[in-house]
Amino acid sequence: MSTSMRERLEAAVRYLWIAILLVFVLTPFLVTLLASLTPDKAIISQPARWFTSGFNIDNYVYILTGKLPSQYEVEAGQRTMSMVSQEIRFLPTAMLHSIIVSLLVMAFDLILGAPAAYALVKMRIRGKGVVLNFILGTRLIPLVAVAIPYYELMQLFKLTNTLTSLVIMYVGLTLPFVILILCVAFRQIDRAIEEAAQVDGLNPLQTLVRIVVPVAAPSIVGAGLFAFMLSYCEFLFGLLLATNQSVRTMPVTMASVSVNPDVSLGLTCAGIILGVLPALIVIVPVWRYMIRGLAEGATK
Amino acid sequence: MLHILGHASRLPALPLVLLPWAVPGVIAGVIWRWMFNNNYGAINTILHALGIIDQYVYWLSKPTLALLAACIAQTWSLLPLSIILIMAALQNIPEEQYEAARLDGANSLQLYRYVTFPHIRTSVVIVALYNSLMGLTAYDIVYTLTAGGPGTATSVISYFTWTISFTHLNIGQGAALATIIALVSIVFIVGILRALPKGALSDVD
Repeated sequence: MSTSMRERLEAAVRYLWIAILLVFVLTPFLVTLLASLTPDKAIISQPARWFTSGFNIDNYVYILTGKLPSQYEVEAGQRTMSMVSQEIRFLPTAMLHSIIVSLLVMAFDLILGAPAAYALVKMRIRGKGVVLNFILGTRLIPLVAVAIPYYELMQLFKLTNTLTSLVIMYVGLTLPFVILILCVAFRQIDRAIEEAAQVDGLNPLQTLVRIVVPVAAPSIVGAGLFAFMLSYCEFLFGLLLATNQSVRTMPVTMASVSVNPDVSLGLTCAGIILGVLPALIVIVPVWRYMIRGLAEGATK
Repeated sequence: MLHILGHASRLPALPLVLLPWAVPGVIAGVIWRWMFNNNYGAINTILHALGIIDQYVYWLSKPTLALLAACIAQTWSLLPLSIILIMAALQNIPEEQYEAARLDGANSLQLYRYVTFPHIRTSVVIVALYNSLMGLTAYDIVYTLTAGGPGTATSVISYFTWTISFTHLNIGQGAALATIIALVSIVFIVGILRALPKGALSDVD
């Protein structure tokens, strides 16, 4: 009897721990969503009236279409009107910039990363351990430490304030991860399949394109989307290399909005939800294809 | 900023726990600034409604509390990757070892100490080193959460370097600081690389 009691206690502690974890992880999302849907007055008042003031999607409508939220119109007067800054209206454009850059980065990463990983896993190359450690190790150096030289280089090539500079930077930042993920994925491929391909007279490049890539497709999709997510979220180089409104990325725009006293809390939160959405959507396939693959791959 | 998990490996809600990973650090900073707001923040409101505090706490105005807030926000951001790494290690533990230990009469603490922990030790070391490295380089969360304030209470080394280089435009001093950061991080990086299991990445040597 006492053992079953103990087991129950253990299960209870386990679920309690998971519940605490989920509350910690999810509360910030939920209150941000809440603030984006509730009139600002209700949030800012003390005590706050979170659930009793009704919900509306005015903030989202304003960001996407420019139609002024009714709460500001009703309060009227110049002062409340100035609560609504134009700045947040740039968010959709900024998201578009981020998505274009991230898609290009994803494409370049896979074109460069797949052959690199294939060669590193399947071929005998001298000094391979050094290469792998170098790829991983250099990427771990804090970006702040290398920001100045990169900035000067980009200035030298007259690439500052272009999306091109961001694509170049982010390929450099994400490629190491893509190579590592693909290394793990390619290791799992049965050697017999490749040997059969070689017997059929395929050269290494043909083997990669016709055999390895289709077999490892889920991991490749996962790695690509992971690169997309990292590029979409990158902030430091976005701020450094693309300050101009015409090329600003989503994180840079949101950072600038968040320090603008003329943007209300509700609008900021609505912007956060919209801005984070593409990356949040990507997390599910990244989880399904990449992380599970990594976890299983490590066992082999 | 370290967090070690128990048996969360077969958690159905796991993808939910990964969500903070998709949130850029600057935005995590903005979210937590609203959470910790002195006057109407979610944490103050919730704690007050639950009757835990009588008066709103000025989280971001007190140096120690602001530092604590930065740590919590940073932990929130780093948690997903730590969970993934440790979980991957947990999945590799053969079930037979648990059964054998149970037959020998081990209780669950002993199971954890002698079966689970040796298997995940490497991952825990990697997670600890990686999180310390990220803590050292925390920059974007602080940028929007506290902007280094109050005073210089949360002006962490990366943020400090950034402001010296690009706000005060003192590139020389900034470069010197950057070199120091790079040197210190190399210690952590070499630690991580050495902790990685041999042959994890390649078939042929």
